[in-house]
Order: sequence, then structure tokens, then C-alpha cells
Amino acid sequence: MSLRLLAAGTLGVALVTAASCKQDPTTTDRVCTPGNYVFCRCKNRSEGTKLCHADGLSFDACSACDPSEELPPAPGPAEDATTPDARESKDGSGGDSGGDATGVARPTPGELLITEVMYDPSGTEPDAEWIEVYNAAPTPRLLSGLQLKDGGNRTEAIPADPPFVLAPGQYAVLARDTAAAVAALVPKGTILLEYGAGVAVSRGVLLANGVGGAVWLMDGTTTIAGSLYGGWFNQTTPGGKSVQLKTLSLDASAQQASWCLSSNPWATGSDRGTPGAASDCP
Amino acid sequence: MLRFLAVACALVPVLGVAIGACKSEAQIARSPGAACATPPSDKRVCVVAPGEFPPPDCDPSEQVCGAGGLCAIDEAKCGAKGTCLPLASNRGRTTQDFRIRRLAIAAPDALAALPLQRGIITRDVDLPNKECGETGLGSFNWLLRVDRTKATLTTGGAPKADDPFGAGFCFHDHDVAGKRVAPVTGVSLTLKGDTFTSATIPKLTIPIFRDDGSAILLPLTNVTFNAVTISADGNCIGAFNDHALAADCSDDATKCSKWKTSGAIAAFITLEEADAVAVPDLGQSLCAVLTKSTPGADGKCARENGKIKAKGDYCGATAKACDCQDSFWLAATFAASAVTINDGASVKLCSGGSP
Repeated sequence: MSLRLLAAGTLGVALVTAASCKQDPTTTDRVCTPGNYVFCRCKNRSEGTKLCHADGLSFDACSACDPSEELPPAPGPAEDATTPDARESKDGSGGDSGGDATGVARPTPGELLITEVMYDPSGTEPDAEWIEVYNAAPTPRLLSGLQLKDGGNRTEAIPADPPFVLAPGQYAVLARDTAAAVAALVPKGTILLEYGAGVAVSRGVLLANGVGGAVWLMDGTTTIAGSLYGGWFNQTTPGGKSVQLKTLSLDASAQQASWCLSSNPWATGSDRGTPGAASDCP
Repeated sequence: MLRFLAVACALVPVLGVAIGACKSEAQIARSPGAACATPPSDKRVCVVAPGEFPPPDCDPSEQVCGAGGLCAIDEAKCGAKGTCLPLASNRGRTTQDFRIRRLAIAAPDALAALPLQRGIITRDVDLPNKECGETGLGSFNWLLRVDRTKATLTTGGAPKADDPFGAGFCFHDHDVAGKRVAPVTGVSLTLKGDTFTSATIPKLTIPIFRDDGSAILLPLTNVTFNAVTISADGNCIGAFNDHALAADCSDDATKCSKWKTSGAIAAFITLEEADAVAVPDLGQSLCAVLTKSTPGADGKCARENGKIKAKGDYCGATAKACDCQDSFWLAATFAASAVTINDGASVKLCSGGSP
């Protein structure tokens, strides 16, 4: 039985703990500080907070939903080593990967990864900017319905029509402007969608070059994938080097050490990177 | 950032309890973050573990207050002292504007400790208006615009205002040292009556201006406002307490709080981002301040193989207490009062663009 199933509810788990060990909760085994609040999340993907009770073990209802709608804490790799798809079949709910009319599952955090970010192309910015996304799930995942968000909290919804789907193991480029990306020699066949063609240069999702640079794939308030590349690497003018993810995991993607600054052009005369292909980080 | 893995990160230890409680007492989980949190360096009432929010009305003082009325306050100018000294009126407005008047840090310890809380944060938040019971600098301006109809929040910093009681403040929207410091808009709010909790704001930079015009940029990640209650007239988040004031309008926040808070904020600060922030008052980077480590000659955190040696109490990468310890958990309560937020068209720092 996975811990996800075991943890049917926070209070339930706490009671299991206390009862099975025949000891009263004390300050040494509480899970929260009485009177303080912690985050909680709900089946409809909303998030809120909940108040820690005086026993330090139980909570008020989550502010964002009814108790029956609250999700247990998401298991980390150490707590549940089963695959996302295995989890879906276990709990019978489809897990967090709700599908849509396409029948293709929406990604849960980490099933898609942002694997490359061209935030400082040598061509015109921001039109020549692009992001590479990778499907780490064993089955196709739907990008439609997700949102791109940049470090300045600007967002762009990925449209539902046509449905944008990423095959398992597939790398694809999300280009701000397909024409500009193609002019920069990004292979057109790798471009899955464009997210800002014709949008004013100060509008839409912008891949900032400074320390505030960041980009995420969001599903509502849930972060599916992200890169906090801002400030990680220095580029000299005229730029032209993407950052690439070396280790294909969500945890790794949050660490600067898991990224490299591209050093090789992907085509003669191109900028440096590997759009639509696996990393060539040393 | 990346709060996905453990939105309720504080609950993860619960799972650990479930597995290990009967194996060994040593495996019993403590409060989240207890293993790596820095013990408070002074007597502290409002204590939070990494991943937690303090109660919105937590009063960090000893609540030993005076009789009140000792400091003469010009209510015609400063607003009613019986409420929260509102600088403007939100009454009847669906869009309500506020400026934070008190930011009481509960964590991390380095900021919550008295020298920094009083010596920088409170001093810089307080306005330079003794007639309003404040003897600060007014250089740390954090604004909130709450749209009650759309249930959204706009929040960000502001430069010092020439006329805080009239024209008011404007959201800072300008490049600072190559980094755009601008408000975040359209943040979803969950409103229940007059109380709201915000969605998480992935990135928010708040400037604290120095006399020379430079700014300390607070690099906040995953900022969330929790259990914030707006007064029925729309003018106050929390309340002013003139019983804290001495005749010279000074106050001792350890004895009596000048502001009753009614909202909480939490976020985290990555050590890497903090190391890029200079705190001129202390001659150190924010990283060195937070970690209380001995900085290098450049004032920054010491490194080993390129990595910062000191540890935080929170892992931004996994959104868990302790864990990779690449960050510090920041939590605070706050009070705010109504203010005019203008469009900043005539203020260079509010008009967008580079220097």
C-alpha cells in the first residue's frame, strides 16, 4: 500500500501514529506549531492554508475547500517510488492527471520538464526567445490548458484548440514567434507552438536576461515545471547561448548545478543550444 | 518556487511519523523544520517553523502598554488614531489600497531579532512624521491593492513618497541594477467576508531605499498572504495602538506593539539570490546577514566549490522545511492602512523603463 493511500487525511495519520504507539502527543512529536498555519491543497487544484490545532497534530479545514475535497500532502520520491501512472491506477481517481476531451492526461508536476531556455538569443528579443519542454511521463501529456508564466508573473495560456500534446520522451520547442525562431535556425519541426507572435515587445511572456529571469509551466496555481535560470550564468554580448537541463528530474531542474550554459551551435551559424533535442551539457 | 511537491510541506513529516513512529523514538517527527531551524536568538512570542505562517494577530510584545494619549497626533493630517491612521479612505470602494505600516518578522531569526527588526525594518517602514506617531524613514513601502470585485491583488514596493498624505504612493516599476522591480498584478484571492488568502506569487522583489537613492532589493519567492482581515470600513488591516507611544512619540516594540497586526505573509529567500543583495547598513550581503555567517572580504557568503557553505532552513527546490537548505523561510505578520496609490506618471521610478 502506498503512503498516498495510507495518508487518507492528516488527522487520520496523526491518530494512527498516536494510537499505534500508545503515547500522547507532546511537543516532541507534533507536526505543526499550535496556532500557526500551513499550506493545504484541494482536489480542484486550488490551494489554501489551515490552522494547526492546540495538539500540534491536527488541523482546521483547508481554507480553500471542504474537508472531503482536501488532498493529502503530495508524496515525494522517498515516500512513494511508484510511477505517476501506477499511482493513478492505485487510487482509481486518475491521480492528479485529469484528462480532457482529447483523452490525453494532463501532466502532474515533474511529468513535463522545462529542459532548455533561450532567454538571450543573438537575434531580436523577445521574438527570438524560446523554451524547450520534455515529456518525462511514460504516456502522452497534454499541454493545452496549461499556462506559461515568466519571472515577472506574466502569463500566457496554452490554447485548447488545436490540442497540444507531447509524446513520451519527446522534446519540443515553444517559440515566442515561430518566424523569428526559424530565422534563428531553430528547426521548424521541433516547434510545437508559439506563445507570443505579434505581441508588443513589452507584453506577453518575456524571458528576462537578469537575475529575475524565470519561466514556469503552470496548471492553475500548480507548478508543473520550471526554470529559475536568472542569475545563474553570465553571457557576454551578443548572448546567443541557451541554458540546458542536464538531469531530467523536477528536483534537479530547480538547482543551478543541474543546468549548463550551451557551448555548441546546433547548426552552422546558429546560436548555441540543442532545441528539440537532448542536452549536450558536458 | 516549485511548491508543487509539498504544498503542505509541513505535513510531510506526518508521513514520516506514520512509517517510523513504532520503529524508533528517534524517528518521531518534530514540528516541521525543527531539525534545522535556528533557535530564536532572543525571547520570542511569535515563533514559526519553516513552512508555517504565524497567526495573523500574533503580538510579539510583552503587552505592557501605557496610558495612551501621551504623543500628540494630528488626526486631521494622519487619520484617526482610534483605527489605523488611514492616509486615505477606501470606504465604499471595491478597489482598496493599502500601505503596510508594520511588518513584524517572525522568521528567519536574523531578521526577526531586535537589531534588524527595529534598526532597519521598522525604522524604514515607519513614516518620518512625528505628528503621526512615527519617527522612521518611510523608505520601505510595501503596497497592496485589493480588488474586492475581481478578488485579485496587486502588490509591490514603492519609492519614498513626497506627499504620502495627499498624492500618496505609486508602485515602483523601473529597472534597478538591471533588474526590473515592478508590482505583481492579478494575484487570485480567496475572500471569505473581509478576510482573504492569496494565491502564491512566484517572484516578488520589494525595494527598501537608502538615503543615497540605492535600494536593498528583497528577493522573495512564493509569496503568500494568509488570513488577512480588512476592517468593515475598508480602511484598516489591523489597528494602531497609541498606548505604545511615549511622550516623544517613540515606542518600545518589545514592551507594547504600536500596531495590532491582522494578516500574515510568508515566502522564502534563496541564499543565492540573497547573496546578490547588498545590505549597505551592515556591509554584508543579505545572504551573510540571514545565515549569520562570517562573510568574505566582499561581504558575501563564503563559498566552497562555487556553492554557498552556509545553510538555510528551507528548501526552495522541493518546498520542504530543511531538506536541501538552499533558502530561508520568511514569515511575518503585518498591519496596513488605507493610502492613495497614484498612477506614478510623474514619478520616474514608477513609470517603467531603465534608468
